[in-house]
Amino acid sequence: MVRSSSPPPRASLPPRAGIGLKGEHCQDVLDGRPDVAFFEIHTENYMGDGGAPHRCLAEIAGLYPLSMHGVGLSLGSADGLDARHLDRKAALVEAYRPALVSEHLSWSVAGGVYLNDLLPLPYTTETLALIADHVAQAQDRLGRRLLIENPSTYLRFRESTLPETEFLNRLCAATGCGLLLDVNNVYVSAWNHAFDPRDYLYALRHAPVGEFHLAGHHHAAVDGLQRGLRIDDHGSAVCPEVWDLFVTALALFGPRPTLIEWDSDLPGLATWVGEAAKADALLAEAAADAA
Amino acid sequence: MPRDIQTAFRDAVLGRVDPAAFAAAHLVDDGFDPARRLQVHRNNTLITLTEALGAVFPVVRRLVGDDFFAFAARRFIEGRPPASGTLIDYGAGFAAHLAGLDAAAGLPYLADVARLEWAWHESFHAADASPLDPARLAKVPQDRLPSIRLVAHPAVRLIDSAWPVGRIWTANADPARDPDPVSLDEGPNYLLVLRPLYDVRLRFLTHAEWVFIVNLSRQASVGGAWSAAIDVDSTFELSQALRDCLTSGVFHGVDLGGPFTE
Amino acid sequence: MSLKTSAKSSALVAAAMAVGISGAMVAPAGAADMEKCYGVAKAGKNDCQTATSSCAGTARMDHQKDAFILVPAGTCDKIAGGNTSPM
Repeated sequence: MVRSSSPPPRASLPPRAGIGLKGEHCQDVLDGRPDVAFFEIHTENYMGDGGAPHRCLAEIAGLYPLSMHGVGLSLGSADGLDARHLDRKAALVEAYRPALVSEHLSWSVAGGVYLNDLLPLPYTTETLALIADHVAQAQDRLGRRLLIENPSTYLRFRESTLPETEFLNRLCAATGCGLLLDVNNVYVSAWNHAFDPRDYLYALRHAPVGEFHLAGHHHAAVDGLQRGLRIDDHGSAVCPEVWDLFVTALALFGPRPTLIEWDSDLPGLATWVGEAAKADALLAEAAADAA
Repeated sequence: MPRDIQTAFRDAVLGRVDPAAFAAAHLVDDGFDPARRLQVHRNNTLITLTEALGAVFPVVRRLVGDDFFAFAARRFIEGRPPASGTLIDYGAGFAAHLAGLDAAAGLPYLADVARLEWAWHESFHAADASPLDPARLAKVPQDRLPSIRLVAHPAVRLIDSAWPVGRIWTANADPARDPDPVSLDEGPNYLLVLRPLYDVRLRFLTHAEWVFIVNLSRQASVGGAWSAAIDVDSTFELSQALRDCLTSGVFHGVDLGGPFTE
Repeated sequence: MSLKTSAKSSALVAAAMAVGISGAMVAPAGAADMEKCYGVAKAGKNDCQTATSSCAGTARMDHQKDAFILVPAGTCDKIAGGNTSPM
C-alpha cells in the first residue's frame, strides 16, 4: 500500500542556476563567492564521519543554499531500502538543511552487492508499486519531499509495459514526490533509442517538475550502430542541442532551479560559473515571457 | 520478477554470467546488439570502481602503472564488490587482495603500501575530535599517572611494515618534497597516521615508540605501554615519547581510572 | 620483578610522565609536528575519490577488452631494487 506523504514545505530555491560542489573548488568558492544560486552535492560524498569534506560543506552551507543529490539510495531495488544508508542520508539532511533533496529512478544493489551505477528498471505496474513504496518510506524517514530524476538510458527491457514518462507521472501522483527533470538525460535517451526528445517533455505532467539538470555528454562511435551512442559522462560543456531542449522545457514547465552538472574532466570554477550564467539568462527570459 | 531481473543483471555486469544470455532474455533488440548496450553499464561500473580505488590508492597505482592497477582492481571488484552505497567505504580489503595476487609477488612491499593508503583514507574521513589538553594530565596526582589510560584520537592509525613503505609513500606521493630514492635495505618502518584537525599527517616512529602508542591505543595503562616499549628497546625515553604524543594530537581523552582529590 | 623493583619502576614512570606532561604544556603547539611530520596534500585527493560516488551516475564506454595485463609496469625508479622478481 502506497502512502501519500506531504512533508511541510521549506524555503524554496529561486528559479536560478547553481553548480556542483567539488572538494578541489572549495577554497576558490569561499574566496571568490561566485554568483550562483545554490550548490549541489552528491550526498554520498559526505557520508564520512568528519574531516575536511564536512568543514568545507559547513562553510559553504553558511553562504549558499544547498541541494542534496543522492546517488546511492537505490530506490528501485527489489530487496528494499538499505536502512543504514537511509540513516546516513537522514543525518546529513538534518545537519545541513538542504533546500532540495533528490534521488534517481534507478537501482544499484541486489543481494547486498552494490554496483555503484544508476541501473535501469523495467517499467511495469509491479516495479511502479515497488519504487513508490520506497519513495514514500524515504520521504517519511527524511521528513522531506523527494525529487526523483529521470535516467539516461542505454537499453530497454522486454518486460516494460509503461512508457518512462507515464511511469514518472504515476510515481509523482502516488507519492507526492517531485520530478528532477534532467534535460540532458532526455536528450541522451532519445538519441540512444531514436525518439523525439520533445515528445518526452510533452508527455510529462507539469506540476511535479521541481528542478532541472543540464550537463555535457559524450557521443561515442560504436561499431554496428551508425548513429553511435550518447554516453552521459558529465565531462564537458552543455551541447547546443541540449540548450535548445532546455528552452523547450522552460516554455512548457516554467523556470525552475537549474543545476549545471560536471563530474569528470572538471573545468576551472570560472568556466563552470559561466555555464550557470548562460542558464540564468535563459531562465530570466522564461520568467519574463511568463510574466 | 524485479528481484530475479536485478540479480541476473548484477551477475551479468560483474561477469558472473554471460551478458549475452541476459540480453537475449530481457532486453529489446532494435537492430543494435542489446548485449553491447548492456556493456555500457558493465564498463561504467568497472571504471567507476577502478577510479574510486585509484583515488584511494594513488601510490599503489603509480608503483604498478595504470594497466596493471586496472587489472588488479578488476579482479578485486569482481571478487569483492562493494557492500555499501557509499564509495568512501570501498577498498578495505584491497591490501589483502594485493598480498594474495600472484602477479604482484615481485613487489613484496605493495600490500603494505596499500595498508598505509587505506589508513590515510580512513584518517581523512574519521570523526573530528579535539586533541587531549596536557593540562588535564597535569592535575593528576603523580603516583596515579602510571595507571591512567589514554584514548586515541579517532583519526589515529598505526602501520608497521618490514619494508620502508613510509619512505616509498612519501617519495611517490610528493616527489618534489622527498626526491631521494628509496632503498629497500632501509628496513622496516613504524608509522603513525594522524589528523589532529583537517590535514592528514604521517610520522615515522622508532619501533619502541610505535609499540608504546599501539599499546596505549588498545587501552593499556601508560605503565603497561611503557613496559612493552622497554622490552623492545631499553633506551626508550618515556618523557619524550609522551611529550611528542601530546603535542602532536595522538590522544583525544583520558580514563583516570576513578576519582581523585586535587 | 619483585614488588620492590616494581614500585621503584612505577615511581620512575610517574616521574618521567610528569616531565613529559609539563614539557608538552610549555611546548609551542605543533612543535613535534614541525620536527617529524610529513603533512602532504594527497595527490588527486578530490571528490571523486574521497567520495567517489561522484562518479556514479556518469556512464562511459571503453573499448578495452577484458585484457589481462600481468606485469606491473609502474614507476619503480624511485625504489632501488623495487621489483624483486628476476628480470
